[in-house]
Amino acid sequence: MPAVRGVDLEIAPGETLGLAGESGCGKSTLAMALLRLVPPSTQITGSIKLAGQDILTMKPGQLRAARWAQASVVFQGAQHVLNPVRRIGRQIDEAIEAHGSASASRAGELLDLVGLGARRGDDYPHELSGGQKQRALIAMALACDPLLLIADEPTTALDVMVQAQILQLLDNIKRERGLSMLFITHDLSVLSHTADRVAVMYAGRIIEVGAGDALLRNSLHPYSKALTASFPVIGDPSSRHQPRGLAGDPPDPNNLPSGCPFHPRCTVATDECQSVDVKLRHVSDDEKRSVACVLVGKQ
Amino acid sequence: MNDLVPSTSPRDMTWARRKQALARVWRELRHDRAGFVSLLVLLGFGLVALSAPLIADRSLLLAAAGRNNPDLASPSAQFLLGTDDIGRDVLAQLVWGSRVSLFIGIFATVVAVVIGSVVGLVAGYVKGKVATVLLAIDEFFLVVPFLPLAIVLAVILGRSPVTLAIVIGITSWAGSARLVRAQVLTLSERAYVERARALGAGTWQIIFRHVLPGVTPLIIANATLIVPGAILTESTLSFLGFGDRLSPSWGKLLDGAQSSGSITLNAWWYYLPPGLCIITVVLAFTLFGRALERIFDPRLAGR
Amino acid sequence: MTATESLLNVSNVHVAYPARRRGGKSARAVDGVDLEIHPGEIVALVGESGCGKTTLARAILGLQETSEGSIAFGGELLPTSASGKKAFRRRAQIVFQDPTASLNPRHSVYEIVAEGLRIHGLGENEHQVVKNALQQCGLHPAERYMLKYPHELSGGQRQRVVIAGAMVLKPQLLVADEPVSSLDASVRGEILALLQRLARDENMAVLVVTHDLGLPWNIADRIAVMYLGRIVEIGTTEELMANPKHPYTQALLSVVLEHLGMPQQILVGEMPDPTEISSGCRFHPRCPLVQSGEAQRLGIADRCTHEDPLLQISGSQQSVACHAVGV
Repeated sequence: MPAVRGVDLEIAPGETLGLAGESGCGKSTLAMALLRLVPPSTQITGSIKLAGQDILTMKPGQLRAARWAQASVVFQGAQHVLNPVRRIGRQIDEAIEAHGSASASRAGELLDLVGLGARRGDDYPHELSGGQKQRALIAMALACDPLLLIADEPTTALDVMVQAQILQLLDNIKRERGLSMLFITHDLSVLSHTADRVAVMYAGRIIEVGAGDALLRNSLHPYSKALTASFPVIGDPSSRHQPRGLAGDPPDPNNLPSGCPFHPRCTVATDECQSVDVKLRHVSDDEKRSVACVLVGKQ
Repeated sequence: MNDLVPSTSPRDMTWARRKQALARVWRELRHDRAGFVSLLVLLGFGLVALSAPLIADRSLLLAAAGRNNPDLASPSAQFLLGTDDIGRDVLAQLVWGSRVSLFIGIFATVVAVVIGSVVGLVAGYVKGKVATVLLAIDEFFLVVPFLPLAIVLAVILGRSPVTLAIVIGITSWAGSARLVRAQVLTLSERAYVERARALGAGTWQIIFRHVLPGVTPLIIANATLIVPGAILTESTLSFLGFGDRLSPSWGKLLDGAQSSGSITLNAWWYYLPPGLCIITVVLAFTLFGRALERIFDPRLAGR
Repeated sequence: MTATESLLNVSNVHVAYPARRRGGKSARAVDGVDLEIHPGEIVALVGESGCGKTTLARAILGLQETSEGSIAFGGELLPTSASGKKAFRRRAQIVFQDPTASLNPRHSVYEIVAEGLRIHGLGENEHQVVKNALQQCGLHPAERYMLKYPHELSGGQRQRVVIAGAMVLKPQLLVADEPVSSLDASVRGEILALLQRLARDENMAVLVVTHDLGLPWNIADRIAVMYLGRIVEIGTTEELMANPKHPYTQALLSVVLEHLGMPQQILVGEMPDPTEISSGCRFHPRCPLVQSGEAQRLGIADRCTHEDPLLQISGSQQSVACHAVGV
């Protein structure tokens, strides 16, 4: 079952790439594959280069070193990721110890950095709120000073205000450390604030990529257009009393439509779309936009 | 997914769905070798029990029947499993004994499951003071050693097969109640039960529409696991001399074998067959029950 | 709003959960709420998790006991007898957040939608009523969906089935608790459009409970913002979104309306537990006006820490509970 079908991505140092898509589009699978955190039976083809080294051909020792010290992950569903019977500080220490130099103050420093305060290291996960747990996860992810932070739906279960706090935190950390970030989410409104560039995924492929603001304000691919329309801009009269959505359901990865996988739900699909599955291609220079649609970029 | 004709009424469709579910259970059972073989074994025993009159005449069980036969004779063409200490045909007693053992085992299970399910259902759904009282009673029956209790009850209530079955049922219901209660508690917390309440459903409507269908597979699987225990209890009671005075049973055969010294005399045809029968039936019910549990389990998880 | 008689009148409702331990404090999930809903209008009850919006919604439907206050539906208080409560269920229905959990996996779509009819003995013409409800909720052709089971449907379809199951009773009020949060983004719009259409076509009032501020902009006529068990601001969607008056509402909107280039007011900390409601205005520990000293300047700082502000009318349809408003 192909979860990801041919994805090219690049993240520059210090850049945040937003990866948007709905459930089943393959974005989480892609994120886990980046560090080979997928089940052993999964086949990954292609190449994944982190700081010049190919993750897919690394030996286990190198891979372990790369995980967490070069790239780390902030998982979604914080409550299920933290060990409920160990103190927060200890869990952070474990992450550090697993990679070499252990330093007791380090956990405290990291907790300060994420706004929790060193004293919270003595708390158990259940004593923390949702937002606080997420901060703890971020502290853990930063434990080994990675170059790249992969954040998989880090704010999904959180309230609007707490979400804003976490996003602000990530923004500060990013600027202070020159961290690159892959921010995965289904909530496009979050990306407008955090991402330098945005890639939209559908049925295992990236169907549009470009500069963050520009893409979200003016999407070109019919799916991206529909997705951005689903998140109304408050104050915009065109969405007042006009909830917009997409008919049909995301496709079954085992049973993808022929040609462009989006064509059954596409309002502007042509006959060509049923047989031709065009790849991502460059359509605009100044916005660095690429779109995978026969109808875009024909001029 | 089969495409049912649109003119099919929803009721027909429900039955079609139920048949499909049963077919699925049957299919999975066929694949489960241990479970399937056990089922065949049990059906075999059932067949033998039902056709007892065809295999051996009832009169062979009377004490008088053995008068002209050699005592503790080893198996021969006339007596396939030899004779007992007063000359009666062991095979006849074994076959007629299977009736008693199986009957008591199954009837006792029915008693246990009915009591256990009702108690579990009420304690799990109604909660409150009633539940507390029921749970205390349940705890009592869980903690009290079943054998002394069974013996006392047998002496008080009498020792016919039916009363024995009731007695054994009374000592076996407590575990079922716990299981049923746990499942009922889980089910009553489900969102679709809350939805039913929001729609205006009363307690009984919810129990019949949502809770019972979810608990029934569990009860069935659990019942098949109670039968072996019931049969063993019956055998034990009979062995100890507290069983039915008149009818033969496997436990009674074992008692007879032991008290007549057939073990030291190496009259294996007397003590081995009943023992093996008990072990086989108990094992078969256990394996079959486990297989059912496995098959029903994904359904218990809510499919 | 015209002077139509209100359909639902919530008056000084409190829901307090008793203390867990002896000497502990009770959790005041709903701490004095007044709310009126008119026939056919869509009201959004907005707030963060823990603010009591779900508890209030359930209390309105009689699924949750109130410790104080009264709820009147169609001019009459909520019934207390079993048969009265059952009759009330036909007039007010609820759609829960998770459509998958709300559907019994063993029941077919037909049985699920017909359940309400069977409970109330409205069996005649059952097939036709179920069919109409399914079609009204966008499941065409109804016959094909009737025979399906929940696991064969997508999230959006399941939610439509739930809504259809509520609509067969022809309720006057539909409470939707986070109706689209567990659904994919692209499906969200369709379900919201459905709710809007049903409200208009059936003159049915809808109370949507949500933490998503974009949702009211899409479909709600009025918004009530809740914080720690109280409604702190309420008004028409246009008014409230264009001109939020309560500092909490302002902060929430500033965080969501970033495209307007407004400075974000990210509040510090999180909403406290309902057992720890501070004296005076419950928002004052996190209020930007208090923290920046603005409250001091306005001369209301003392009132903020000692006096619990009441909802007061400010603007044509807006009410705010804040000492700084009207100063």
